[in-house]
Amino acid sequence: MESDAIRWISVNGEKNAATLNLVKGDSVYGEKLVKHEGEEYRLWDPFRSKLAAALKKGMKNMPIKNGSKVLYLGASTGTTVSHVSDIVGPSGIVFAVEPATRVARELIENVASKRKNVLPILEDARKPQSYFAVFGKVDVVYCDIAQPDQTDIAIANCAAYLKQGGVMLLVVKTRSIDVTMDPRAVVTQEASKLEKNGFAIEQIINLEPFDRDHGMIYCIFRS
Amino acid sequence: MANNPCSVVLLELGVAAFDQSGGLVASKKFDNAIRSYRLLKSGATPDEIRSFIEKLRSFDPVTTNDASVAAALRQAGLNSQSMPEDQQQWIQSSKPSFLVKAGFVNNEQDAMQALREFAINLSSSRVKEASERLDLHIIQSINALDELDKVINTVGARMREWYGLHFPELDNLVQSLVAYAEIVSRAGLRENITAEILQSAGMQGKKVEIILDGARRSKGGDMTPENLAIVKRLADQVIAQSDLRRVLADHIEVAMDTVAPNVKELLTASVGARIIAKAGSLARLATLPASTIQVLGAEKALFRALKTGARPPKHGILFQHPLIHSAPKWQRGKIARAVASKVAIAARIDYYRHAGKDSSIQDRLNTRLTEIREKYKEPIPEKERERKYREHAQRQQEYGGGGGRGRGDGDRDKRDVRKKKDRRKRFGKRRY
Repeated sequence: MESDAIRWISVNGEKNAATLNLVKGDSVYGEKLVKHEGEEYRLWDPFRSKLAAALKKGMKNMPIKNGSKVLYLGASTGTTVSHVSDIVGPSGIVFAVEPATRVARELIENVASKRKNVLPILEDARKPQSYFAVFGKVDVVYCDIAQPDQTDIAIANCAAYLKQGGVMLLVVKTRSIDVTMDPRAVVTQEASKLEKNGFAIEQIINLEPFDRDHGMIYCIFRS
Repeated sequence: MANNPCSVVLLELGVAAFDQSGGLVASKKFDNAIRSYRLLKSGATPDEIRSFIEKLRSFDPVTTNDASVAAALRQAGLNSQSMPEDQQQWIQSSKPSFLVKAGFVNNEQDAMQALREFAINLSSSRVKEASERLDLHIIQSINALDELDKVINTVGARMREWYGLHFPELDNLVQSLVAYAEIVSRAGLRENITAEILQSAGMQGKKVEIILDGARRSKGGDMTPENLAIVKRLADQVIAQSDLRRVLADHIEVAMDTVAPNVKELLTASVGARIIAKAGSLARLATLPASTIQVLGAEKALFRALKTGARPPKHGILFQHPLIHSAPKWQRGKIARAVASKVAIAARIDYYRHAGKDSSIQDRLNTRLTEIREKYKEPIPEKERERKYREHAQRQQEYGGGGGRGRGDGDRDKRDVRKKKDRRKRFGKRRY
């Protein structure tokens, strides 16, 4: 792992990812804080965060690094956002988009108000032009939304905010797209849709056993 | 005065105008950024930028990066246009430097800080506003009501069981849980039960005699004062919770009148509230298709049907509607469909029009109901029904959609298009 903010820490005989805690002493969603080489890390539960699951399942390299600008779609209560915030560090920034006010309340209280690099945006990801306070192009778009048209939404957001050669991580919730189809077929279908729209597929990660019927597509934005 | 252009840029913290060479012409930092920003976006012109607009009188045309600003300028009588796409993108990508140029912040570091603060405040104000929405309170009310029902039933059953050790005969004599609880609470031991207590608990005439008689010759055991005290407290709980339940039910009744009168008219307050709760909000219900509303609450059956090709559910929560559960079995699906289609319309009227009751929906539903009741007076014989279902399933398969379809059907997109067109033709004129 090239980012210093991620460490693999052994807990009860099992290796788990952990991120360098940006806000010392603060546990965001009840995760364990561990000391490692004099620094405080937050354990990253792969059952709670799909990005952690993808790391555990062998994501080739982590596109989110120290100083990255990230557009995060589907921030929810901010579990994963908090770890992304750890990784990008004080010089990076996370634009966290979430339309549902109920979960956004927790996102603002537990994550955005405490972490200076998180900027909450309460908008529908279908309307990227309505995001306020977003500036510049981002290095990474992370998309984790349970919508039948999630891939199209992700593509539209990349067109508006992702820089050339930037990375998109798309969590494919196959059951949201089509319950009747074979999950693997859904992922392949979404991947080919991305290819048609100018993305180069780098890796497809199956998130079993951490999340059933979920895949993560790691792709690079070319045009 | 034409051909003296300037460009107005809406930034989160205020508005700024630049002339052709990029020099600052005028700027106005919002005193209350959140309020002004939201006002602008909602199509109004906040007072604090009126004088700013006045300063632009001499310019023509005025281009801007924001549609709502363009509208506000136009309202003030200026010739305003939208900026070309690439210019807007450029502003978006160098927003911190624009904030500095407009004089809203000292440097780019401060700009980022200010943007973040703005984002948090704006989001918080939206969260706050959303929490004040009345339909969310209805959802909480109906969920509380359903949970209270559960509590009353479990606690009530326990109380009956326990007091039954002392006076087993009472269980069969008093149906109503609240009446039972009142007798236990007021009388305590069975020998203290009096006609007056029974009457105040709603028992009448002969019933009073039977209970008093039962108490005298009961086969129940004795009860210690300690045990009795606890049973009495359970009884008090049942009474108190039932009281709360009534208050909640009344509240839902009133709240539905203001929030969703048309949905209430069609479904009754409690079923209407449950439908809104299931959809998540009135806004969401107003965007749902009737077919989804029809099966709300029967998700398990619906997804099973989609996966295995079994028969889809006829109704979910709608089954609680007296029209549907009291109808003959073979009419229920049709009635549920008719009701769902009207609920879809009613929800839209309630959410978008806010204009009180519209009785025409109920009338049209009644017309359709009479039609169903007449046309389908008798059930279709089972054999015939099976045949129809098979034919339907086969047709679905031919068109490549719906129930019974195998996995991984090739060439789906084209077929789906054809299917839609054919459906239109088959069903002809829409009835709602």
